[in-house]
Amino acid sequence: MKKKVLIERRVALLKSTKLFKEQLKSSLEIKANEIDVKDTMFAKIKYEINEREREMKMSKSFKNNKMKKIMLAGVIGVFSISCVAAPIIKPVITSWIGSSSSQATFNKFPNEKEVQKAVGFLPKYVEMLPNDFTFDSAYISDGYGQDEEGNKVVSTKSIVFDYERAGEVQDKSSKMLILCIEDVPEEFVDYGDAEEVSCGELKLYYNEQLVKNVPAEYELTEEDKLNEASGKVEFNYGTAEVEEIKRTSVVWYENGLEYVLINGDYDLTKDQMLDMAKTVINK
Amino acid sequence: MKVSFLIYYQKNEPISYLKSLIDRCTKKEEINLEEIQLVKSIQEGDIEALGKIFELYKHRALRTVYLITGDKYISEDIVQEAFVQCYFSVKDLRKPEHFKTWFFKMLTRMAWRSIKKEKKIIPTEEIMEKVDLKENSYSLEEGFVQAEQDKKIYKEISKLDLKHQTTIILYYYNELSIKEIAKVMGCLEGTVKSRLHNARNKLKDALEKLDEKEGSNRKESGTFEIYKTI
Repeated sequence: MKKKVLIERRVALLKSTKLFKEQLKSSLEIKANEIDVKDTMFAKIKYEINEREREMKMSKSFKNNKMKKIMLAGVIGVFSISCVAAPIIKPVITSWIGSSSSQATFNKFPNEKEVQKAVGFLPKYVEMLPNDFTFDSAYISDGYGQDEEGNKVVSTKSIVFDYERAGEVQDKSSKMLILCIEDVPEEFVDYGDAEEVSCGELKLYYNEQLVKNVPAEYELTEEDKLNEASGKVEFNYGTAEVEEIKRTSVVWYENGLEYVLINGDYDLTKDQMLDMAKTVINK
Repeated sequence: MKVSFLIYYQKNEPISYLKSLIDRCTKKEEINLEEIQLVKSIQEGDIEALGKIFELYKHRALRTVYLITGDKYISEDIVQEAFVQCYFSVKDLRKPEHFKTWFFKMLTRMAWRSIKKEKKIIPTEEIMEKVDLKENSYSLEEGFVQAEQDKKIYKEISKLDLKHQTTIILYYYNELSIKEIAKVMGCLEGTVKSRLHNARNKLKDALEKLDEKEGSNRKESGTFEIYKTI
């Protein structure tokens, strides 16, 4: 008898538990059915994907071009300025976004007070560089690194000094010599496969790369894809025609600032590039 | 490890119920070959394949997020963003057969972040007022009682903390297995079981107190006796 009562109680418990669970499920389903998917949702998703892919392409396009020469259909360029050697820093930051006016902030060589006020920090910078380069203009930009979910990980501020060589024909868009200085924590700087050179206590990183500037609608060939994947060639989108330039750079980190000296298509050797970097370091 | 189940059942209990009970305890992840192929296509940048995956998951995704957030507009935004992120991030998914848990993991994280960001969960009273009983085909008195019961249960579910609430939703609404829920929530299977158990007990206690407070006699529907028995 006792056993029968026990079994009956257990059956009742199971039945009531089952009923309770069914009620849980039912209440959730009724609540969930209050909402339905709109017909336009996937179209919005597709649009957003295309927009982000376009932004990613555009964000590469101004990385190494002179700010004054970035005029695409009157749109202010959106560019990523830091980390020339490797724009993607793992494991957190997956993209860098930056923006700057197409108009130079300084058209004459600024004093320290002006620079400090403009960017909030005081970097080392010079008016003249070896090999007959003199200051031409400077641009200020704001940027940030975001993770794959679009969350801002770090905000940055940078100043770009543009130099020109006396007597050189400057209308060719591929030629440039710029010094980018960015206020970014060192953990976000990736020197990639650059060659390391010591300069006193500092380490300089020298890199050579072929850059192919292409129009926004350019479709990569199979060879292009292989070269891009191997790091042999870097593609920048947004120019009127396809052009290839040799780019060399020297990167170093000093006192909380990342310095990137970039040469686009000037005939400068590795030693000449390193000398220019040392001129800034020894200021 | 050998596990024994001791199940008491009445003679007229359908076998299918017992089978589903056993399945839920030991369920392995279902492998859908077509889905695996679609995921691989998305990994190669095929946006049309994403469209097909969207068709398979859209309702469950949107309704799951809605159950968590309680806000229709925010839910739509989250689901849209989830599919966009899916397109860009799915390359990192090494095993396409784990797409379902990977996707729901991303979805629930986004829903949680949204709640924390908005710093609110919409009061259930507001939501409940929007429920149109006619839409649920409750026209009889019994149906009205049932609808009220459903409201109360959901209200209590929404009062649970996020992790218990999400566990209940994933288990009862999405019918994910314990193993799948563990992957989605990033915890151990034991933790999932514990949360389920605790959530159910909290709900039962809350509903029992509610019934006692209202002083309503639900003997005819059997509901009152259910809680009392437990």
